[in-house]
Amino acid sequence: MNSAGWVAVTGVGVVTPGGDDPSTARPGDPAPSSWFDTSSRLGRRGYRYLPPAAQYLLAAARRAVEDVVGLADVPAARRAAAVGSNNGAATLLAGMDHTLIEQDVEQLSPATAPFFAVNVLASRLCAEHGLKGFSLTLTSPLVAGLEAVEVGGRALAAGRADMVLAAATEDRLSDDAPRVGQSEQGAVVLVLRQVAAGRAAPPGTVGGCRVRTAFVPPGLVHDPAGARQVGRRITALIRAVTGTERPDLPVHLVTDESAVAGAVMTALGPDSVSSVQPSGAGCVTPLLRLARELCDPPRDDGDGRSLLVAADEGGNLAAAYVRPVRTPSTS
Amino acid sequence: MRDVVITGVGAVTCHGVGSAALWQAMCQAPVRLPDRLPDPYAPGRRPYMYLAPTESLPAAPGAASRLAVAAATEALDNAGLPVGTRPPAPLNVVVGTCMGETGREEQTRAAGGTPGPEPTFSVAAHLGDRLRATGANTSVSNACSASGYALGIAADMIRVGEADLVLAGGADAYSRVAVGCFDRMRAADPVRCRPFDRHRRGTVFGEGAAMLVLESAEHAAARDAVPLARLGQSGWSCDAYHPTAPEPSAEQIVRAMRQALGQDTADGAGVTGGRLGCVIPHGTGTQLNDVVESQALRQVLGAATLDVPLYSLKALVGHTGGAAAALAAVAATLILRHGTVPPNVPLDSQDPECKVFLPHTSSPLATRRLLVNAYAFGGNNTSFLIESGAAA
Repeated sequence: MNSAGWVAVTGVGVVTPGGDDPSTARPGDPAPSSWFDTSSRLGRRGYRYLPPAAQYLLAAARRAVEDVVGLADVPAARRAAAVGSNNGAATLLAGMDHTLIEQDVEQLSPATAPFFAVNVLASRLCAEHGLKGFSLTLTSPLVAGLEAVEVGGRALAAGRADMVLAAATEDRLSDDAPRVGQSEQGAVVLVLRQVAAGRAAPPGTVGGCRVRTAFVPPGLVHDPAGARQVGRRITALIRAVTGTERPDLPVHLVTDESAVAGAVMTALGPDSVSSVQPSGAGCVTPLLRLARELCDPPRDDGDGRSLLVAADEGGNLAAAYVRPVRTPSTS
Repeated sequence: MRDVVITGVGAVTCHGVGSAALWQAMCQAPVRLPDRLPDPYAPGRRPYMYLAPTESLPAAPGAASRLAVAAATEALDNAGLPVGTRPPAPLNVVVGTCMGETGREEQTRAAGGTPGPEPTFSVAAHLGDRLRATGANTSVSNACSASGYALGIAADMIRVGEADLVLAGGADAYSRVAVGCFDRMRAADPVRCRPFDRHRRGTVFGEGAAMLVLESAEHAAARDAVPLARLGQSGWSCDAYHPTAPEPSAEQIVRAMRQALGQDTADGAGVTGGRLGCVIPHGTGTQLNDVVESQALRQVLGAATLDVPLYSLKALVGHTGGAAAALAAVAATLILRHGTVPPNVPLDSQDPECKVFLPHTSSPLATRRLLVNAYAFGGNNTSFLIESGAAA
């Protein structure tokens, strides 16, 4: 297979209530946000007004870049960010709306008002790391974090940047939200660099991956012809990331209990799926799983390569071919 | 890298459903005042917005999706790929939206209920399901430049060979929180959306959607589709400066424009990017932004700044948030097709600090090449070209 779309990951940063080690981190603990101490994580001044999802993003980014080799050599205009979030500002917006209904506009905080636009969560990240290449915010349900890797990798290939911080960040949903029990808190940040065909991976590479996304129209999966079309599309997606339709790889599925999940499982072949991990309400879990496969692949499961698939009831679908550093070739 | 062509456009604005309604309004250039919001909890001092007509929109799970479906239906029909027919290649969908279906959640709260479990950012997925589109399905939320980035992502997908056919654009509908936050930041104009006016006081939001069918030139040719225009290069940059204010030197918005124009070279020397027939600026009516964009245009265009007509779209339709850049792309395509730069909506008095050319009469499009600018909170800048080309 060729190196198209393949990116090297040269840094990984994780911040969750369940810890910051990618192998044990858990974003799914729906506890209050007291697990994150802003002062010790970020500094005493200038961070408290930031929404939690922006704080988690900053903390994870600092961890991701701390050991990255050659970062200072990348000009600001060649550094960029691609950040996924589904609910990073949801609780904040719900609170603002209650204020408007129950009080009036003057009771809105001018400090947090800009965050009605979810992309502002990445504003401080870009300022802190001089990310002037671009800043993208992706919000596709469940897959936005993996999509950040896909879109960031594509932007690298298109020459828009030389380094991209690809991330997912989420905040706890409000107590009255139906999915509060599936809330995610925390952030994952990967430092992406391009791997040119036939060239060695950049120094300090943790591993590499290729991500592609597709869509399973929920309305298609209920009839046989539609299900066959969906099956063909999933096969094409697998081929696009791995180079083959039936890769001999451990397959890890992050999903829910929907009809779409069933269709994806059928297309993959239930016997081919090594593990099924429940998805949360946001986009952190799939990217965290990718980080785990990069940093701590199972020792007794082949050469460490794996295929990660994420799918949700709305039809969003992503596949990631992951190759940790012990097999550093791009081919 | 492959050429990207536009083979279909669709639009919904406060002037009606369909790109023909948009073009008619562009030609008439009426001073249209914003509508009072039909919401008992509409934020205090400025409860106004340019509302799209909803009675003829298709049913969908939220207002933004309804707008998007109407625009997508027109764009696909325009491209000869009507809804219900199976496209020759997997259809990819990329949608820019600032607020998604936040308005649906706000309606539920206003009625005393609790919003359901449906995702907020579901516009792209709704389109994907409705159109049975099995390609990539991407929701981009770069605030007011979201659909500019959606077009850039879509074009990159085609250029690197990942896709042949992409439906890309943007949609945003009324959100109480968005209107309230702009009011709280003192960035809402009490009169109307009047970019570059001496007395402007901020922006006024508008509902809207715009979708474009993008194809590789080869794919369009293979099915005998006639391109409406070519989507040229897009430039992306980030101020990395402030959550809401533009960086005063405009270094990064200049860089985005120069990338789009092909003036951004590795050694920084710059080369000529050729002439422009029109610029559709971001121009929102917020005080600092219009000045900074005017100065940036002068840095890029030099003495030609006062010769290149600006078409100030937001004065006509309001600031349509995540849909704004795609609406500008549709407007640019219409200008290119008609060969005419329409008159701008009249200003009371142009701000002398905004030294740009805003003609109030229509004029022939002198050069078949238009630049579109789109900026957003977070300093998320993009500029792109709509032009005729060998394929158009």
